[in-house]
Amino acid sequence: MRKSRAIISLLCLVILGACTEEPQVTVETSSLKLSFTTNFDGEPIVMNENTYLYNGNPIRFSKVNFYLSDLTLGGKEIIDVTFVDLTKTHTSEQAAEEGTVLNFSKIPVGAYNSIELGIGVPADLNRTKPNEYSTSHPLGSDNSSEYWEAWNSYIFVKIEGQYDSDDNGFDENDVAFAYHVGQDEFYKKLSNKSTLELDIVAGEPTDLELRLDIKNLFTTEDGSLLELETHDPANQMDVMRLLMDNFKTALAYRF
Amino acid sequence: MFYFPKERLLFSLVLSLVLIFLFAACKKEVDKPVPTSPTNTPQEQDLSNITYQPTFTNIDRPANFPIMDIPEDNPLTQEGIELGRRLFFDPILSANNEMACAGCHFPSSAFTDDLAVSTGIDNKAGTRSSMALFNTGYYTKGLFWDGRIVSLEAQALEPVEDPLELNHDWAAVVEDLKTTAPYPNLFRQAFGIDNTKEITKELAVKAIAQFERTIISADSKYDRVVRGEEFFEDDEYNGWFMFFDVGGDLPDAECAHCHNAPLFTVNDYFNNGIDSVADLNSFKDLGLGAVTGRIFDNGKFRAPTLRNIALTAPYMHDGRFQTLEEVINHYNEGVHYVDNVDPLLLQPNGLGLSEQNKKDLLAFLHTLTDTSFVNNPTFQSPF
Repeated sequence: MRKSRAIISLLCLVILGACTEEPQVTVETSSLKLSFTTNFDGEPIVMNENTYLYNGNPIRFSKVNFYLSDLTLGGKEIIDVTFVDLTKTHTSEQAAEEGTVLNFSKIPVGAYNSIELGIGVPADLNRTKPNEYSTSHPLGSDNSSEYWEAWNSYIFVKIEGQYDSDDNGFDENDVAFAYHVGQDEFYKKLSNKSTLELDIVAGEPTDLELRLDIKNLFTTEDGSLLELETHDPANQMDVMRLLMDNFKTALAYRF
Repeated sequence: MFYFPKERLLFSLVLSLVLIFLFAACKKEVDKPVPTSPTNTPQEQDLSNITYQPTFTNIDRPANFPIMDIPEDNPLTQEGIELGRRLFFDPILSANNEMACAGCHFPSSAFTDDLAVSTGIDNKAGTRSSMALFNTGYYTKGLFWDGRIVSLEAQALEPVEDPLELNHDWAAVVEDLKTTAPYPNLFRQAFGIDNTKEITKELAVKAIAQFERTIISADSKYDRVVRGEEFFEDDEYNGWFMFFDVGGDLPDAECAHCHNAPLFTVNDYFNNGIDSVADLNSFKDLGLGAVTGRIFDNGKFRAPTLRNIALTAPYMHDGRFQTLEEVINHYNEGVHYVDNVDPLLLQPNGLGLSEQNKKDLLAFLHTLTDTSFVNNPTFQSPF
């Protein structure tokens, strides 16, 4: 009798054990608001309308955009590739403060001490063309103006505007600049693998801002500002190299 | 021998005529659609006995074209496309029943109308040039010259009620569609409605949008060269060089910034310097600026596709240029400065194209003509 009871109890335990679900490993997540802004020497850029001083003369911007790729936080990929169009968002002082915003809802909670990102389109994706994507994909035909057939490359960065070189008001005699950067050799990888101190906390949305200072982008090795020129594709290689190299000092983050 | 008095003969004749007339009238009544339910009126006709088996279909994607985004709430069906085609070519959408969408978008002219500015019913002149209606399924950054409408469905709503176009009202159009064969059946087959009362303007424009998404032009000489099926002539090749700034000794014509392949439009809005104005407030037509309210958008218009450009004269939003030669001359040496002119057009000495360069560029533009598209029977009127 005692033996039967023991067997029945054992069976019940086995059955109950089998019914118990495997404990699921749940990763606690929180939200991240990632914003991109651009400024000139600290002043938020308002496209077309606001002017800034460049070597003492007025400058204004009509277009600032770039591709951002392989953004990781603590080794976790946040973005594979996105098109950051600051032209569309920097239309007023208030909008320029807000910038271009991307929201992510499921970032694992924890402390992040590294950030990596690429400016431009990495080589494997840069071998593709806009027609290989849906129209609304960042690399798709909605952004076909960001692909340059002659280079077989996406245009990684575009900065356009006008420089009132004679300081007599903007007119047709001024420099209308259009700097477009593309091709694999100019893809720029940036990283901070140690000093980042970003805590993603449960229930507390986190803001991370990436700020691009155009003045730093246009600063040459000797500290002077780039001599602006009207669009001339033949002379762009050196400028492309300068701009991409300068991203490491022109792009900053804060949270 | 029978004898009929004259009066009696006349009476018999009149009686016969009356009987014939009545019989004929009864016969005509029999020919009318019979309501499927005794409680139905023509405005509320039960359609549930008609088979609803939509044939879902996809866009035949040209090799060098992107993937078209189809709205989830308006998948393509053969029945929807066919209904859309019928509506597109049917003057039932106009107030005087004389003009259809196709009245400003002839297939033979790459769905434009050969006019500087389009003319609506009663010969009312519009303010802008009719836009080419092919490959529009790929346009997701606004439609019309000023980009004021986001989707093809929303776009199709506007011309019906525009006083300078079809000048009708949708409520009346919908009533006509409910009572005009074969529309009730076609709406049933396309959208599965159970009763004519479910016909709406929203379904009508969905059908038109489905048809428009199928209008694709992708078989020009340029496309065949890209696919490796043909070769350019030397002048066309030179033109291609300059169009895309491929390098070499030829000048950059700066075309592809706004008209990049494969659609030959980048779906964006520019001031291309055609107006000589004192300032940004002085444009006769504000274009995008009237939509966004931003002064730096004044005078900006959608960069239209250059595919089939040889078929879509006159050019620009107001049809001011009659020929492609005039257009090339404008970009080469006629750009007017104002604060928001695209900087790529503000070269100190113009584009620097020689007469030969211009001829070569023109030759390349002609390689963008797709005659198979223009003659495609599936894009013609079903009437």
